[in-house]
Amino acid sequence: MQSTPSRSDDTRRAHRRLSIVGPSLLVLIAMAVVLGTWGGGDGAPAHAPLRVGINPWPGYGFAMLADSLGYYEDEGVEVRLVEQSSLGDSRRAFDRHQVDGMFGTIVEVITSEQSHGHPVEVVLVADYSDGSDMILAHPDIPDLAGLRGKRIGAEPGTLTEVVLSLALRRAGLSTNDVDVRWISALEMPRAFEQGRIDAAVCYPPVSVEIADLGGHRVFDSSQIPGVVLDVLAFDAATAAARADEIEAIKRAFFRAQRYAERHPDEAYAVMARRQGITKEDFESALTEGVRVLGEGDQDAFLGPNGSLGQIRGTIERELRQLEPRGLTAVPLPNSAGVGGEP
Amino acid sequence: LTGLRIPSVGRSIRFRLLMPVACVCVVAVVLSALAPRWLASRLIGQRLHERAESVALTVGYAAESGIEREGLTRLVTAMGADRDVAHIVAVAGDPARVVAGTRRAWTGMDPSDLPQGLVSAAAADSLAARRDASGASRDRDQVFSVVPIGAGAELSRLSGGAVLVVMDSSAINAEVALWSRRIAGVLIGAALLVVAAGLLIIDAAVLRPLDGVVAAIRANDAAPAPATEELGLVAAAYNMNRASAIASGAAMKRALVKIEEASHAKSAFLANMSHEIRTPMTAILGYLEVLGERMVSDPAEASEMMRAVRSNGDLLMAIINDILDVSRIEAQQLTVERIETDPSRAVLDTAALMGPIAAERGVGLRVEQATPIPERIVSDPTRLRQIVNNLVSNAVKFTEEGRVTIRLACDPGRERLSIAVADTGCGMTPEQREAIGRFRPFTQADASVARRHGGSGLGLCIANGLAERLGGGIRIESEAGRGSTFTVAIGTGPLDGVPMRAGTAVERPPAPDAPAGPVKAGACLRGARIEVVDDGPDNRRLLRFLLERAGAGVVLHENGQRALDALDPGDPPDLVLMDMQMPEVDGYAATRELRARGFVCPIVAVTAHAMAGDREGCLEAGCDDYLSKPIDRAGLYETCERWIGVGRSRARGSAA
Repeated sequence: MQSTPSRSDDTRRAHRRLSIVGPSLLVLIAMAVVLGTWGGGDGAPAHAPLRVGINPWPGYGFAMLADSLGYYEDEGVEVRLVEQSSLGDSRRAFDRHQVDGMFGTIVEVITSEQSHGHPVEVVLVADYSDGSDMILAHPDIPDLAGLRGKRIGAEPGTLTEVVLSLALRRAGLSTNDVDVRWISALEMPRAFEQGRIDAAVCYPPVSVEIADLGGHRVFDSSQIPGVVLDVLAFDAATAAARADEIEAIKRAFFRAQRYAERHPDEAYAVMARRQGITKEDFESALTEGVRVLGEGDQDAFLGPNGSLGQIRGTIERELRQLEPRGLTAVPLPNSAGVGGEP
Repeated sequence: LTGLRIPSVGRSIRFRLLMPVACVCVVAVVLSALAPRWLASRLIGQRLHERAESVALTVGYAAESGIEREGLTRLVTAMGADRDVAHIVAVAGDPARVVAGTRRAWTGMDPSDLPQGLVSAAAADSLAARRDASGASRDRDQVFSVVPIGAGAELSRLSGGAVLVVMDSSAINAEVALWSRRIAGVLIGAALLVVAAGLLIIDAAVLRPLDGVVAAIRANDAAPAPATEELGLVAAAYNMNRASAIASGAAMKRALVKIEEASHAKSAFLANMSHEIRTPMTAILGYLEVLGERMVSDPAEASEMMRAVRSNGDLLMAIINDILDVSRIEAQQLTVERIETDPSRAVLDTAALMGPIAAERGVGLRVEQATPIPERIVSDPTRLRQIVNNLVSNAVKFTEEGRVTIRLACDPGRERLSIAVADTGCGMTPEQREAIGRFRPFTQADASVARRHGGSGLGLCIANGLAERLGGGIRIESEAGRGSTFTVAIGTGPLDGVPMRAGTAVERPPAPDAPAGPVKAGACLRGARIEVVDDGPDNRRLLRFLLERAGAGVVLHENGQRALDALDPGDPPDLVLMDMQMPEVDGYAATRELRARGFVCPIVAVTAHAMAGDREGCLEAGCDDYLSKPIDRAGLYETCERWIGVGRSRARGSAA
């Protein structure tokens, strides 16, 4: 214990105190830099759920089944299935960026690309329609040819107008020969019941309701196999940015398919409930009119030599024929939507 | 300064300055990081509630506007697709059933059966009750709003129903949390940078300069001057204190040296004086003892002894006068007269006095005039004589052979008269000249001078003091072995119209008219009545003896009171010799009383008080003149004779 420190001690201590300043400054600046960049990374929070628009259709049921079974969580992805009532509404939500991806057909993929100008990437093919897309007509109308001059309900900008166009051509008719009433799928049964339309281009579960109201099938997709391809598509940018999550979604989807193979009763019950129809109706729609595409089938469509491009070409050609007559691919008019901010 | 200790870290100015800044920064940063988050959460919660209510109202409005069930369902799913909307459920009917929802599977369900994981119990209850409600489910990051649906909703069969909107705040909360973290990070980083910058600035601008000052104070060095005003002030104050301490130390040292020198000079002077006084005293007392015991029978030998007593007494008197003059000069109380004076006369008188002494030593004495000299100047003749006498006697004393020359010169333009006294004596070294030139009393060129030549060492000091009082001073030129020249300069006063006397050299000036022999003790005072008032019996006796020898009739009084009692205004004496310091009634009071009683006879003060102002005091009291003790016989006779003459004419005047 030194009671009176010598001068050299004083000086040394003073020097030491001065030399503290430099290192402490370095530490402070380093901390500042670290803290300044803390919380960096890309803009959106990583844990924001992927939102996928989906409408009732037997082939999409596996996505709902995966949701109900908690497969998405298992695969490490947070998915929010945003239920819409029809392909048109689903595509509209997608166009408005309310959802990141959507279940739909190639028609919606193409019309969406055309209407909002961004490339859309197909990441999964769920099934193709083999009879479940159909035209149901009033009992007075015997066949396709009987549709001439009749009022036919179809949803604008969706698969239904392509199906209608293809069907009419088979009967030697064109859309000029019929009275096309643009109507949402959900509203078709009531319009049919009230006699506002004579026929409807529809698919389950709406087709089940219209059939119950006496509608009979004059055309179905089994006559145009391979055209009505149901897919999961994302905005290309999202597909690139969140590829891992999308892979997880695909894994969960195929897992649900495998589950349904093993436990069809439970699976159909869940899927039917989520789509608001009976298990029997669901089962028949799925098994009779839809060809489910599993994990092993993906390459045939999406692979380097897959047929997706060809199908796209066919449909684009069909849409181009409709376009000059102003019947399709109209940029979505704001008044047509009912959503949006009040 | 050794008492100043290095402060502990807690007490250092660094710590005290930087710690609070750092603390304030931390607190400010934490607050500014937390506050936005809290505020944002609140605002977002509020906005989500508003939106939930707004969506619910929109759905309700659509229902009340008559939209069909399918349209309503599409509306619900479209609005439900919004990112922040978790679920929308519309119920109607009794019992309540779900008629439209974001999940198709819910249609037709009892609202209380809605899955609790998706819709909170509180929300489901409010929906079932169809009442206006809103709330939040913090654990699920949800807020909800329930709005009842009014009439007009028949088409969608929703009349009397309600709409529940559940908002999902998790995404927005996550975003808020992310941004809060980012902002906090940036803020804390910025704050740390600010603290670092502050540390640097304070260190560079304040602490380092302060360190410099502190180090200087510890080392007792001069402090550097920091640029900061306050520190600069501190440093300047410290430097000033230090400088003044150093300076006062040096001044103290110098003063001490001076005091020692002065003390030494006084001691030397006292020793010298003691010697100077004892020498004549030895002669006086010795001879008086011999004479008193009548050991000498030869009258010639006795007369020689008496002459020795007399000259030694004169010497003693001169020494005492010198001491008085020095003390007056030192006390700056020396007064000089300013009367018309003939400078040539003063010089010639002195030369006449000193001539014989010089001749005795084989030294010539010569008076020269370099310029015409005014016949009269305004000065003090006595003091002028004293100065010249001093210088000449010095010159004669220090000259073994050769001569002493007195050279007068006058510069009428500057009204200045100079008297140079040059000798061919031993001269002085520059050091001696320097010492003499300070004109300090008690100083001679060196101690040996006193032994060889005698003298008190006061002469030059007095001469210079007098010359200064007369408006000039003394200048010394000297060369060792060749001789010295002391030049005194005095002011002359105005010289307009004063006749100038052309100069001639005077060798061995003639002796003045002054009586050289014994004072004639003739009958100059015959018949005069003189009253002597003195308390000293010896003095009374001496005066009586001297005055009676001159033929006067003498009456003695022991003090002023006796004199007042005895003196009769009707029969006044011819002269009163009044001692001034006496017991009972002193000379001053007695004189005043006499004058008050109407005595007009001359009164001459006789006093041993020789200090400046004494003469004025006497004259003021009413005396006509002043004689200082010891009594000079010639002076006594001359004064008495003169005043008796004045008194007689005064008496005749008053009688007439």
